[in-house]
Amino acid sequence: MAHEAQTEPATDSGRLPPIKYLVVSYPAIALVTLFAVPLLLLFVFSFFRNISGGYLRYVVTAENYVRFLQEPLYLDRLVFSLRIAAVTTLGSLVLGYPLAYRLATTDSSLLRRAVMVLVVSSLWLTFIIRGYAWAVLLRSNGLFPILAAELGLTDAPVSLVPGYWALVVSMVYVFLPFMVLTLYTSIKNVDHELREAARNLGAGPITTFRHVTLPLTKDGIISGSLLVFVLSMGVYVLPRILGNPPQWTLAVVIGNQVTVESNVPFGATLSIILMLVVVALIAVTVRLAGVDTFGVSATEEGEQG
Amino acid sequence: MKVPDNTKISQNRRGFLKYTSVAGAGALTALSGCVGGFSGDGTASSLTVSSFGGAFKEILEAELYEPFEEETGISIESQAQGGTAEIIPRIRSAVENGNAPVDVLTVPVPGVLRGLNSDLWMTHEESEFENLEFISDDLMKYDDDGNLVGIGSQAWLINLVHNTEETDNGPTSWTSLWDSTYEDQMAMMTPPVTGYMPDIAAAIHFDGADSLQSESDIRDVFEKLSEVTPQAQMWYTNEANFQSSLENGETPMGMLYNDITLVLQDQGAPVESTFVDEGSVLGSGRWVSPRTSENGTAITQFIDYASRPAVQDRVSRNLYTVPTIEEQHSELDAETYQRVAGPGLDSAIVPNFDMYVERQEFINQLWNELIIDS
Amino acid sequence: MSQIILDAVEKVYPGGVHAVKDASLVVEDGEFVTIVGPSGCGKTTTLRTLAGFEQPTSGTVGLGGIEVSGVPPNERATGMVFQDFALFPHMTVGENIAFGLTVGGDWPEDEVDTRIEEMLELVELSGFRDRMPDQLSGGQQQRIALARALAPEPEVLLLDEPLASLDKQLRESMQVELRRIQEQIGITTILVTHNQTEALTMSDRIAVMNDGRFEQVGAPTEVYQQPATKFVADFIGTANVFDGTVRNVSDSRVTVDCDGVEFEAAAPDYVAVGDSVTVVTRPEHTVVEPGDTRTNVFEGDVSVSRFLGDHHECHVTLPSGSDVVGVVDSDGPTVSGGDRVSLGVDAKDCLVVVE
Repeated sequence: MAHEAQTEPATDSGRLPPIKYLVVSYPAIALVTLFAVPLLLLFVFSFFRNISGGYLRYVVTAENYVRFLQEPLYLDRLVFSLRIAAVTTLGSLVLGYPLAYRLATTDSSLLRRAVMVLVVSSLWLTFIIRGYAWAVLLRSNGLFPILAAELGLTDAPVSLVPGYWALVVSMVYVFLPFMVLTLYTSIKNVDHELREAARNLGAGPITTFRHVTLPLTKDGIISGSLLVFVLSMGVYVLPRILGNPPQWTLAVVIGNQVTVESNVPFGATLSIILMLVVVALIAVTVRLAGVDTFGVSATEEGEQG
Repeated sequence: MKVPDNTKISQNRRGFLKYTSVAGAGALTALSGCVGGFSGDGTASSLTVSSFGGAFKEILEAELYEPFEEETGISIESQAQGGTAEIIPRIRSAVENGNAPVDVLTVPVPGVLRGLNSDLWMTHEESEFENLEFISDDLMKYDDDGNLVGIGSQAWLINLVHNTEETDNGPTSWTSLWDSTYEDQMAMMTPPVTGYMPDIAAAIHFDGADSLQSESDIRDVFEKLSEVTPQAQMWYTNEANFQSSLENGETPMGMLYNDITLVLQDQGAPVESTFVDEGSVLGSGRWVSPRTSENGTAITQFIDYASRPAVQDRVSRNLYTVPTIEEQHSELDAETYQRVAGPGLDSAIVPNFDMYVERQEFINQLWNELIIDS
Repeated sequence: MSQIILDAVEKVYPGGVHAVKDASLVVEDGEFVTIVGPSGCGKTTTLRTLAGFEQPTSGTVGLGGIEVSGVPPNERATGMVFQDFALFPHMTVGENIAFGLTVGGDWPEDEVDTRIEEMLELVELSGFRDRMPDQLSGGQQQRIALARALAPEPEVLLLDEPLASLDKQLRESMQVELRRIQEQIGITTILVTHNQTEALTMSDRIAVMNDGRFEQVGAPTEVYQQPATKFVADFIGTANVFDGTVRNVSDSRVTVDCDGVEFEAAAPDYVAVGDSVTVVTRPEHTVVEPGDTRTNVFEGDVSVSRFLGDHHECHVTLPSGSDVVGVVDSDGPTVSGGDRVSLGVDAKDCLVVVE
């Protein structure tokens, strides 16, 4: 995500001393070369023409964008990506909130540290390894199908992979740490005295949660959900490992356009469209929720959220 | 792309791995740079050759590159390559820069055609070769001006395979792809330029290549082809993915190359390869060279050597690929030939390669709709 | 009946901290009792045990005649005002006040409305109903916190250092306010503070706590004038403290030798010659250069003289080394550092504390 360049304190004259331009310029240069320029190239390529059986022609045409609108397949994949991102977000919220809550309110710092290490360290492993781990657990001689058969839920161990639920489970697993970490901070910031005040005024634990903790962690919930949603929109590896073509997200299709079909312009087009959709979603959420997400706030400075 | 799992190869096939191998798969940015050392008189003392990776590459190293080295003194740097879609862009950007990251490649036909469209290939003077007469005429590729650009390197057959522990009667006919008895049990190949499933559908349910000429005919073929999706348990791009599922019985049957299956069988896996009733699909590769390579002499020597019947036979015996020489010149005994080529190449289904090049976008669009909307 | 009974309450934390060792206290219906003591003495723990946020390790807690040791906080009829007010930042003032009625209880809507207005009037903040807590000043927040605690008609009011975060002037006016409101409603109240001035001015009785125990419980005047222990004497008000040995006992007087300085003091019960006791005098009774005769007179050098508006406060060092704080009347002599002065204190103003 974009980060702000640190501005150095101004001198008496009100202008930055020359040497400090260097310090400011480094992040700016990095941002431009590693982010803005490739993005611009992508945008430009999306207007080129692809040649079947050949390379591409450097002409400016909108035919790739037209193709996206005309061929229902690609809009369908976009919708599928949105759907699975939504399911993943919901899943990680439902699983993540209780975990984050327990972590934030427990007195035992040993427990807190141990679980935190577990949660954060799972992020050190690449998606691929974690995805394959689920492939192993969910195939017909894997732990979960065998368990399900033992418990009588199925007659015989049924392989869940490749498949939709294998993909969802692995996505929730992979993105859960992001949700937990965001929620943890948010919940921790709720003064425990507020909960005590609620209890003192007659609210039981569940009522206290509903009326005090939950509303006060609204920002964290929205931030965490947005983060997981955006990350989920970009999954490429997991659908390929754990899903069949019907579970391919738009990102997989984009990858295939470039690596399998040698159609770089159309791949670029789909990428731009995907990006615009995600950016639009973020903008709408921030606006509606009035939430201070990633330092982007919908409320003006000075106003209380 | 053919990438058999190289950990499964038994010792006697590995040969001496004294060649450095540079993994080329996935590298879209050209590893440009002149390759091959030169001795004072202009003849190259080394050559860079790339082929499909894994066991394929290892066996070629043992049975082709190494004997060639011994005979000619020209050392070979062996590389693994990715799929057609990866090779062609890589070669293209190298050629545009005047470089040749590799001297000789074995490329499947659609890749050769795409390379022709971008004018990538070096042309050869037939008179400089001795052994081209042994290669099947069908397997020589000329450009529009009649110049030779590609010589048959290896051929392979796509069969129906099954796990013998999971099922006694594996499928023997392509119609099994449409047979609901096999629902959710079969592995199928994607993309179509590798697996040639449209050609299978055309051969079985229509008039073969004639039914793949017009767009509306092609659409009809794809409509029929879409009926195979209930039988598909998995769609694989990389045969290594199907290999492991096949061996452990997770996916008990499907389409797979005959050569890999035989290699697995030799290692003791409970698998069997069946030549298909209506004809297995015959794919093949050509030796091609980037036109920017400067090792023309050595290239000619290499391709000539690879086209020797004795060499072709030796490779086939170990790799189980189909030799590209005409049957009459091959000295493989009947039993080996049977294992490698089944009832013979005349009965095989030869794909309509041009279609995958001229109508690349159209085919891909129909294919994506087929496998994703299932 | 909203009597509070703490019976031998003890609280040991899992880490081993023995916060409350033995707290026994009876607070009568409508009484205002302040538990006062230094930080870490266990007063907050005792209050939280009353509220239900801590479970006593041993001993019992009784509210309104019922033993409530195991009862959770939301089921006790206590209203608590927290040190940081703990107003719900996402609710309006009115919603905060109504919390105990609508969320914590189920009062009918029209009664809730009336009650909110009542409470706002009580704390003199009518019209603030729709404001948000962050729009209020510290003193206003405190009053709303009080209104919120009182709204559900609790039997007992608990105040945890309520005035600690207010500035001095506000603190003093709030002291008066709090007491006024408490008397108006007549609710049994316990206030916890480390500020002994608050304790003295606001309470019906004070419970002085030190190291997990109540050292003295009594009316402010009693605690001030007749401290039961050296600690109490030192903690409540300023005190000059002299350790010494009893030399002579007579009917109403004892003579105590404190490091060379002899004091004649009012005789407490049960003291004998040779006992170790402590003599305590208050600065206001220890006059520098007294105009009249005093029972005990001693000399020393002035170290510091401070002007406090209506009198001077003098710190005098005795030959024995101990420090004494005395006062100079406004019409007394001017003294400055270095002067040798005499101090006088009457026997009746000398307390003997036997521990």
